[in-house]
Order: sequence, then C-alpha cells, then structure tokens
Amino acid sequence: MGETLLDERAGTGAGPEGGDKAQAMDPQVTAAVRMAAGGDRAAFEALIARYQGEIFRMVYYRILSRMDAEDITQDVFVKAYRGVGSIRDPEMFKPWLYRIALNAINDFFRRKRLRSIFTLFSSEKEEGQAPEEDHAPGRLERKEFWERFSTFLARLSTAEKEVFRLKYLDELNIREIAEALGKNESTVKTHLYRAVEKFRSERELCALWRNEHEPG
Amino acid sequence: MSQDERVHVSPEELASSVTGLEGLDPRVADHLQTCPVCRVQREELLEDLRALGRTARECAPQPSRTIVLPEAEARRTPARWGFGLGLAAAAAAAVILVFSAGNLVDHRSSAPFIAAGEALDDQELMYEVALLEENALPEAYQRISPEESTAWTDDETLDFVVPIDDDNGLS
Repeated sequence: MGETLLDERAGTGAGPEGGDKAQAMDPQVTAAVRMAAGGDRAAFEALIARYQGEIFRMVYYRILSRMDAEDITQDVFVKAYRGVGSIRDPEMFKPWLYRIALNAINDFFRRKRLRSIFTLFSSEKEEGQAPEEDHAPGRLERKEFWERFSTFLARLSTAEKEVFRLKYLDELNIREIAEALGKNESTVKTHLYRAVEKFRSERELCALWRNEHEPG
Repeated sequence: MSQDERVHVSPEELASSVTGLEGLDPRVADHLQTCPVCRVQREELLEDLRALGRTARECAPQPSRTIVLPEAEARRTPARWGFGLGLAAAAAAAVILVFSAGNLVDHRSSAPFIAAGEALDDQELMYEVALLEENALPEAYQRISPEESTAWTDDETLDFVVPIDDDNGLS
C-alpha cells in the first residue's frame, strides 16, 4: 500500500464545533489498519506516513521539546506496530494511537521526575537538558504563544487541560477523545465545557489570536 | 424585538453551545438560530478556538526523523529453528559421509573419523557463535532482565518510586 493512498487530512476530528458528531474514519485507513493487523508491514508503514506528523505535533504540544517529541513518536509507533494485531475495532485506530501516545507522554514525565530525583543526589548535571536552540524566523512569536498558552492551561484542571488540547489542538471529536482517555462522552463534554468557559473568559488572549490569525 | 432577542444567552450557555448543540436547551438553540447578536458571539468564540488550533500548528516544528520499525519477531524464531535444522542435517550428512568414506579407505585408518569430528566441532562452535550474536547477554543476565518483562517491571517500579504526576496525568 503506497503512502500517498492515505490522505493526511482524511478522518480527522470535526473541528471546533459539533464535536460530538462521530465521523466515520477514512475507509482507506480502516483497510490499512485491517491489513496491518494481519501482519502487513507495508500497510502499517502507510499508517505511519498518515499519522506521524499528527502524533509528533500532539506530543510536541505537551512537552515542547522537538528531540523528545521525535523519540516519543518513534516509541509510539513501535508500540502500535507490536499491538496492532490486537486491535478490535479498526475504526478506533486513531484514538487507540492517541492513547498510546498519552501513556508514552505520561511515562516520559515520570521518568523525567525520576531522573530529577537521582540528580538531587548526584553532582553530575544531566546531559541534553539545555533548552533547544531555535534560530528559525518567528522564534519569539512561537515562544510567546507557548508561554501564553501554558499560562492559560495552568488555570485548568488536569482533565480539562487534556480534553481541551485533544479537542482544539489535536482536533479529535468527542467520541475519539472519550476512547483515547477511557472516559465516557458526557464526562468529556463536562470537562470540555468548563475548559471552554475558562478560555472564553480570557478575552485578551483570544483577541491576540483573532487579530494575528484572521482567516484568509 | 422579541423577548428571546432581548434576553440573550448567558456566557455559560454560549460555552455549552460551542461544545455541542445536541444537549442544549431547545430554547437556547432556537435563540442562537434567530438572534444575530448571540450568533456573532458564538461565531467569534468558535473562530478563537479555530485560531488557537491553527496557531499551535504553526508554532510546532515538523518531524524530521523517519520511524524505524523493528524486524518482525516472528521471523527470528523460524530463523533460529531453521539454523538448528540445518545444523542437524549437516551433522547427519557428515556422519553419512564419514561412514561412506570409511568403506572406501582403510578401516584401520582413523584420519577420516578425526576430520569428521573436527567438522562437527566446527559446526557446533558456529552454532554457539550464532546464538551469541542473537543474544549477547550471558544466560544468567537474560533471566534477570528478559526483554518482554522489562517494560512491565519498569512501569511497576516507576509507579512505586514516582507516582503519576497529576499535572501531567490523565486521571
């Protein structure tokens, strides 16, 4: 199965509005999942081509480190490759992949905390902990955006934060979010409502994005 | 101007309408359909959320690394079996060759038997080398940290030493 067969935008979430309307996954993706589950390596490689960018960004949104996001994305796909044979519903491949990624991110933060505990007892400084150099144009704007967004997220509970990111940054629909988090849809909606209510009250923050990113 | 248009939807109802219209109070839904003021407010909120997603994508780098998949584990087992079977066949062939050769040479001479023994020794050595190539760790170490259970042990140890961070956890 060729990489170009799976369009990167196909089967994505419903966008900001009407998120609880379940969207059918792209039949080509479903077929690729079935073939991959049957041991077809090329089909899984096509799924990688389809989802790598999405999963990489999803990880980056949460850890804000390009190198670590690359490593975690690699781990996510290796775990998915090993487990794809056990997937029961090919339609749920995307939330299943996100669930693996969320677990990998959790593990990353736990390991980071574990390392920080050990470094307390050691005079050696950890390698690779220096902030990543970013010399690309728009560096300051990007930095400012993530700082402002982090400030906003700090006002949200853990569940609100995750549901909000999955909905508006990763563009999953309510059903996919519920699957990825292992929660029911009404719980997801409640957390999402609270998060949106807090977002709405950040009018200054909203105005900044609206002015800078007028559509068209 | 009707009553519904004068009493606009509350901020909470506006936020609720953005997360999905299905569970919304029918009166609020109707009002949102007819009141231009509330519709604009709702559209603005939706646009802010869309702009947030767009900006996040613009502010994130692109992945540059190619995903490398492991070689299929299933292939490794038959390879090992295949090697074992090949070795057994080679040993059997060597024995047959020795006995066949024995009929052609002087029965009192031990040279062919020594050569066949050396050939078998060589094959056994190569088999050991192949096993070491596949599993470099000594057997005792393999028992301590087998590949399959490492992740499980690590997770349990991590759970004990570093409980899930609520700030980053999902529960």
